[in-house]
Parts: sequence; C-alpha cells; structure tokens
Amino acid sequence: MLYIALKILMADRAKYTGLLLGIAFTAFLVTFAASYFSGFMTRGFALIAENGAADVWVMDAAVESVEQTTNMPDSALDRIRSVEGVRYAVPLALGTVDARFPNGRFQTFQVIGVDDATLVGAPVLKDGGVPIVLRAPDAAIIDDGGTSGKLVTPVLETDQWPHDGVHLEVATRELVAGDELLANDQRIKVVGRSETLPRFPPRPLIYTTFSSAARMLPQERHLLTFVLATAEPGLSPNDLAHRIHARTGLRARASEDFKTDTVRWYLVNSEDVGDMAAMLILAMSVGFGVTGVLLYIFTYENLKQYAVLNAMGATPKVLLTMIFAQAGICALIGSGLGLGLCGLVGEVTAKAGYPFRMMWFTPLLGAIGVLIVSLTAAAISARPVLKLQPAVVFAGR
Amino acid sequence: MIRRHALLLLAILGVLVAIVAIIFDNWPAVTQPPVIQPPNAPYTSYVSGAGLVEASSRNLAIGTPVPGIVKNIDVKVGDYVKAGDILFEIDDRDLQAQLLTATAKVKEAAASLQKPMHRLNNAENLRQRDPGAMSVQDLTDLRDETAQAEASLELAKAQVEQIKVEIDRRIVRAPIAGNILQLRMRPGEYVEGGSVVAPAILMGDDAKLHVRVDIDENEAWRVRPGAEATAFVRGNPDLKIALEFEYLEPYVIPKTALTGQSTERTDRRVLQVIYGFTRGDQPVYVGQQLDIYVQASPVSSERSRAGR
Repeated sequence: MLYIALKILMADRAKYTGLLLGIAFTAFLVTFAASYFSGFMTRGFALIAENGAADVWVMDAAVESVEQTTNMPDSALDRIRSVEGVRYAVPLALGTVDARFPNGRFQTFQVIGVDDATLVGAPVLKDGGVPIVLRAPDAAIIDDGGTSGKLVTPVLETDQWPHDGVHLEVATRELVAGDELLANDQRIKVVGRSETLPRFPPRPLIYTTFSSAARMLPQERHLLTFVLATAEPGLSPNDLAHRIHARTGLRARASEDFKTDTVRWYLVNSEDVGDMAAMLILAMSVGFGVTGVLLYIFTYENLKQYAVLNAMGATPKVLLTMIFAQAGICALIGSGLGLGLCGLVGEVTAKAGYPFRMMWFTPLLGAIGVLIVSLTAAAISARPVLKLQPAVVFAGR
Repeated sequence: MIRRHALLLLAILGVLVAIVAIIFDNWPAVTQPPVIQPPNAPYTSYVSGAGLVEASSRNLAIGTPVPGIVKNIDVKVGDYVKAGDILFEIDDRDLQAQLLTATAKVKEAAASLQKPMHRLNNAENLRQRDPGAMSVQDLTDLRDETAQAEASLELAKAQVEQIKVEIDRRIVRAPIAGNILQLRMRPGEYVEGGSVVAPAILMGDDAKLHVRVDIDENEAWRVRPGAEATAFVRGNPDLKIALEFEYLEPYVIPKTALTGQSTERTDRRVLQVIYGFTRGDQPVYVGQQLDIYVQASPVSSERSRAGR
C-alpha cells in the first residue's frame, strides 16, 4: 500500500516537484533564518571568541556581557593574580572614543586596550605581522569590526589635516600602516590592519596597549574592564571561576559561560535583536503556512484516488498511513534539499561578509519544523479522507 | 532507477552539504597567541603585586642647603661617586666679594691693634724704670684698649672664617657612595632649596637593588615576614630574579598608581614589603616595575587556623 502511496505522490510530476520545492524552500528559510540569527549572536561575543587563550573572564559584579560594561579598580588585577590556580592574568580595557580622520571626518571606535607586557588580546594582523608593533608610541591596530568603507583617509596630501576646515567629499583610500588619526588631542598612529572576528553591532575597532588606551580615552576613574585569567593545567575553568569569585567578590565566568551570558543579555536587552527575531519568526511562519497549505491541497486533490482505494476495501487506518507516509517523505526529501541549498547559499553569504553561522541546531530546527508542519497538514487533510464516501468518485468533481 | 532516486540522492547530498557547512562554520577562529608568554607563578600559593625597583640606599634626592645659580657640575649621569666627592657648586661670587672686604678688615684690625699695643709696651717699660711715672689707672686703660683691639682682630678673623664656611656650604658633596641615577641640572640654572618635586640630582647605591612590593590590603594578612619571593621582568618572563626578604614597612599607605597624573586618586591602601637582590649584570634599572610573586600560605588553611 505504501508503494501505491508513493505512486500517487510521484505520479503528478509537476505537483510533486512543486510540493518538494515548497518544502525545500521552507526548510531553507527556517534554517537560514536561524543560522543568520546564530551568526548575529556569534558576532555579539566576538571579543570572547577571539581571546581563545583566556579560560576565565573576570569583571565587575554587575557586568553581564561584553556589550555593556563598567570598570573595576586597578587593584583587582593583583588580587586575581594572587588566587591559586591562576597561571596568569592580564588586563583588558574597553572604551569608546571619537577619532578624527586626516580630512576631518570623525568616527566612533571601540578601543581595546591589551596588556602592555604580553600583548595578550592583540589581534591577528592582516599581513601576517606580529602585534609587537603595538609597543611603538601611540601605536594602534585598526580593524573594521564588520563595517565597510568607514576606515578611509584622503588620497591627496593637500586634503590631510587641511587648515581651511574639513574636506569631506574627496577621493579616499583605505587606511594603511603609517596613517594617523586624532582622538582626544592624542595622536593615534596606525601600525597595521587586522582581520579579527566581525562584531555585532558592527563597529570599527582600535587595538592598542593598556597604557595608550589610558591616554586616548576620556579621563575616567577606572580603566580596567576585564581581567583574562588562564587556569593552571588540570584545573577546569569553571572551578577557577568559582574560586576567583569566592576570593575577590568579582564576577568570574568561564569563557563558554560568558558567551552564553552575552547571548542571553542580547536576547533580554537588545531591541535590535527583538526586531530581528520578530522578522525571522514572521519569515518562518510564512514558510510554515505555505508548506501546510500545499500539502493540504495536494491531499485534497487526490481525494478521488483515496475514494477508489476506500471502495476497494482499504481501511481508514491504511489510508491514514498512506497520507502520513506521503507527507513524511515529502518533508524528508524537501528538508534535505533545503538544507543543502541553505549550506551552499549560506557559505556564499558568509564569504560575502554577512553574519551566517550554521550551528548544529539550526538545520535540526529547519528539518523538525518542516516535519511538524507536514505532519500537522497531513493530520488536517486526514479529516476529509476519513469522512470520505466512495461515491465521491462519481460525483464528477 | 537512478532517475527515480535522483531526488532522494539529492536530498542526502543536501544533508551532507549542511553537515559540512556546520563543521566549517564552527571551526575555531584563528586567534593571536600571546606575543610574549606571560610569567607563570613559581609557587602553588602566593600573593601577587607590582614592585618598584629602588636603590638599596633608597633613592636620594640630593638637595642644596643654599638656593642659587649652579656654577659647576662635577659629575655625569651614571658616575660612581664616593662619600664626600663634590657633586656640584653653587655660584659664590657674592661671598667671594665679601671675603675681600673681610680679609681687608682683618688687616685693618691688625693695624688698629698696633697703636694701643705699642703704647702699652712703652708704658710698661717706663713703669719698670720708674713705678711712680704712671698711674695704675692709665696703665689699666691702656691694657683694656689693647684687649679690645685684639678682640676686634679676632672678630675680623672669625668673619673671614665664617665666609669661608659659607662658601663651602655652596659646594654640595655626595653623602654616601653610589651612582648618579638622574641629573636634571645644567650649569647656569637656578636650583631651589627645600623640598622640590623634581630633584636636581638623584643618586643611590644600585650595586644592590631593592624592590618595593605593593601588596593589596585585602591580601596583606597572608604575607609573612621572610616569605620567599620571585620577580619577573615585564616583557620577558624568562628573566626572573630570586629575591631576599629585607624588611616590611609596618605602615599601610595609599596605593600610588603610576599614571603620572596629578589628579590621580587612590581607593586602596597597600602594605609595602621590601625585597632585595644583587644587580650583577641583569638588565634591571632603578624605577622599573616588576611583577612580583610572594609565597604565601593557601587561603583555606589560613582561614581554618584563624577560625580555631
């Protein structure tokens, strides 16, 4: 009987293809939306991800993410270093500064101040150089942080630091090592461009040393935002985090936990994320609706065949099995196609710089979603089949 | 057959593509390893603090007893001087001028002494020959005049000595043997007396160096006098120095942050523990910051002992 069900399903190639395409599209849409959302969230904790060597992040007791931070007194660093099990601990300063380009245009940057002595936290340079260049006075490594076209400086010498006001509408080129910026009356010398993980929300970044950050940033009482601690071999990051918290009263989180915290913080606090989630859910609903309706119509149009089968003595149970088998097979093949499409399109999208990240649960979400919708549609379309009178065959509909 | 299963195969291929995409997207990001390895704590249980290197004699900010224009500087930065060696001289022409008149005044006083002295001599000779030739009163007067003139001479001589001592005060000498660490003065500059922010000459004995370790007040209770300690030179964790305990300053002071800003405010107090080491040819300098680890007993056992 299942064979007959498949025959019915595949007999009408046009309908079958349409049905599969519809389901594949839904699977694609759901997976793509979920992956895109994962991509945003991943970019949200890019700072944690790029400091892979840090086992534990220590911060002010009220800080819950890398996006909204406040600073600790400098003495926190020594107190954390004094906790047993800390192999080493380095400071990290975060701040925001408005920097001026040579033509007078300004741009808000996030300043990331890394440890002067070890340069832990410095980014990977684009040309493969070593971040030791940060030791030069006022040196900074510039990163576009997911933005594009913001880090440009005028081509012509005459447009640089002009004496007759700003020169905004001039030919520009990308910033390179050797260019200069100005922030809070402090010179910032670009010693390199890096390519770290893009940020969400996208923002240009200035990597510099802790002491240079202290000069670039507006005067503040405290500058120490995070302390990155590494555990002794054999000590789990979670245990170390608990120990640091117990000893210092500061909030200490293992890197993985802190990523989760940051994602949760975005979900709870960020309006952007709420809007995005709403749009994605809308897209998913449309996809689900289309799939359900397609499947329902398909079954409904085949009512005659079922009536014949019924007349030939197929029990309602057999008919139900047939309907669900059709729906299930469509769902499986459709989602397989959809996932493949999503994987291909997604990688192209990601290469183009968009926040796409397929995580293990996103295709699962797509497949399970499609399966649930298909089975629901099958269940709904089961009603007319069950109420079927064999006479329908002759009703001339 | 192939055609019939084409879609199925395509679907399986799709799933495989998705799996590859998942693996690809979750590949760990390329991160920059530490450019310079941070130091690893040499003890299982320790207190960490920043240490400031100073000369074992403390850093002496050499002052001048008299403010004035610098005439001559007898040392260079980095010179080794013995105790008593001349460091610099303050312009003393005013005193040299006074010395001229004072020396002349000695001659004048010496000359003024001649007359009463000669008269007294004559009177005494006369009185030996004829005791009644002169009254006792006159003779006493002559003696007094002579004594007064002698005293004036002594005073004039003393004034010369005083000016010489004053001139000597304008020569500043090294109080101890040591190295000139910093030299801010140039000949012709005016140096202030009293306590100044930027001393003209900073010197100290840097053959042996001390490290002043700031221990946060929250951790101070864990540090015992005599505890072992190790210093790491910042920027090169391979360069570590075993320290000897010197002493502990029993007064807890506000922490000074070394940002160099005059508006700096402090919120913590620190215990200062002083450790020493012989410099040898190690590239460590006075005024440098080191990362210090001081051995301390583990917190848990300390707490239980304190609770007992």
